[in-house]
Amino acid sequence: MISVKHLKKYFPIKKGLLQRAQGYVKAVDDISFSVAKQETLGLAGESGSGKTTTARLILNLLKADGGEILFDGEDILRLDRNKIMGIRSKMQIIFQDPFSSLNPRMRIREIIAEGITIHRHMTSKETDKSVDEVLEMVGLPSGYKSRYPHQFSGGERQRIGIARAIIVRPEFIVCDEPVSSLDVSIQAKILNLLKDLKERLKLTYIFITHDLSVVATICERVAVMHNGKIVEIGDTRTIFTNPREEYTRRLLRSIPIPDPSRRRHFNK
Amino acid sequence: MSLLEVKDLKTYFFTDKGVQKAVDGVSFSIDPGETLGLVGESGSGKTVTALSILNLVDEPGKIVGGDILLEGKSLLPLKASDLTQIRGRDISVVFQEPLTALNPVLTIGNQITEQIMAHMKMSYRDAKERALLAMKEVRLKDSDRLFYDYPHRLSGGMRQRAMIAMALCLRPKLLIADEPTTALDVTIQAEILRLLVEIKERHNMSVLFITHDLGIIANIADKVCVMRSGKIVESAKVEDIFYNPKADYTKQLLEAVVKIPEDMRIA
Repeated sequence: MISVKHLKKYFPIKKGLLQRAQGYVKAVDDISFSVAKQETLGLAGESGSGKTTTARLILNLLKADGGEILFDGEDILRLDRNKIMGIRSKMQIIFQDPFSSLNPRMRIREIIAEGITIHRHMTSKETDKSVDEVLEMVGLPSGYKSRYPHQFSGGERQRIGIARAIIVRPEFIVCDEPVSSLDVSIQAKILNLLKDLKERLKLTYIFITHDLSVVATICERVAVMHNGKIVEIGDTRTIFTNPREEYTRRLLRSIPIPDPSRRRHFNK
Repeated sequence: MSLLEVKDLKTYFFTDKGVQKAVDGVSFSIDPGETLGLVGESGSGKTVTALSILNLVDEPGKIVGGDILLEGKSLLPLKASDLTQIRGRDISVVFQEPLTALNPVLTIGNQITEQIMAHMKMSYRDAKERALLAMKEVRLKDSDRLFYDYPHRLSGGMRQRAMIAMALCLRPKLLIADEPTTALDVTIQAEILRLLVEIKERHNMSVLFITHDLGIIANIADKVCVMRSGKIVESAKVEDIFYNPKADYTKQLLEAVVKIPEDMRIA
């Protein structure tokens, strides 16, 4: 469904009075991978690994410096504006911090419906029906429609963020650290919701996370990123149990596992 | 005798909207050389508990009941100047965000040196020597040069090492660590946690470790208190908490935590 080939993004380091580029930060440095329909691929890495830049390139929120991104066979880096708008409605993003990505002055109904008012023409009644439908899908009562974002807990806000993404019936969603700022007891619930929606709506996910426990829970395949490159990519279970690269091994050994019998292992 | 004893501590916040019982009857004790893990979700009262021990609770918060004993002596009736002596010398603290806790206009070395001189009668030269030693102990590479560097020039992991050096340079009996690795990358977090365990064991220091992360708790705590809504719902040895939890809330937390399944863990 999505195929990324030799993707590059270099940010110039500007210095001095004339702001000449003194060098480049290779944020994404020649990476290639593909995601099959209805698959979840994890892009895992620490800060500065290039995982978020990769996501922004795929969603066309940043201009790539090289490479191709094929969506259903079409290179989205070389499409004209009209065609891009068409493809955009098939792609959505769910952000880490649901609070900062929700407009505090808009009611939940407007926030969720924003996507369909841009991408489709609908009557108010039809819009209402769609909003009710997605609220039900994310497990929120339809009475929430007339409230404002600040009236909700972190988990509920993330559900609203998800409702807002799925209302345009996307085929593909980039999930950018969607559970990182949530409390422990909420994280699993949101991951389960995302899993259910994937089945129900036949979605394809790219899951960006620094948390390998999240990768183990939801991603069938994983690409481990480090310094702008993919260090290792493959089936999650294989990579977790038998990593080939030293960096992946170090990353996996660094995870504190909630089991005191693993302690000696961790402190080694 | 326990090093620290917290007895029926109550810290309330008096706001316009009413009284918020942030800490509501919390009791625990920490023995010398022991690590107590205080675990809970956001708003459970774990940080306010730590601030209460340090007597750093700000208005509108107030300690309204209970007692805090360090080596049998109550800290609550102490004058501000006596408390300042205890903080830093007997009890020190490492917070989550080292950049906000470090003074941006002082070099790393001078902050540590200043901390030492504030608590001990020592010449600048001796204090500097001791600061450099502390920097070496936390394995800040190139400490002779870093001594003259400012906090913003350091990476997150190095800053946290500098904070730990500052907290440990006076050999405190108790270290309070409040989510000290939450803002760090996982590989850096592991290095910092291993360092803390190593230093703790070398000096037989006690640690009160506050975190929301059950994985960290499992790997460093001897004893665990699980907090919720200002109360301790369960307190037990770390193995009992994980393998034989009693309270429903502890069970729910353990059930909910997102973890790598056993058959997917690296050997």
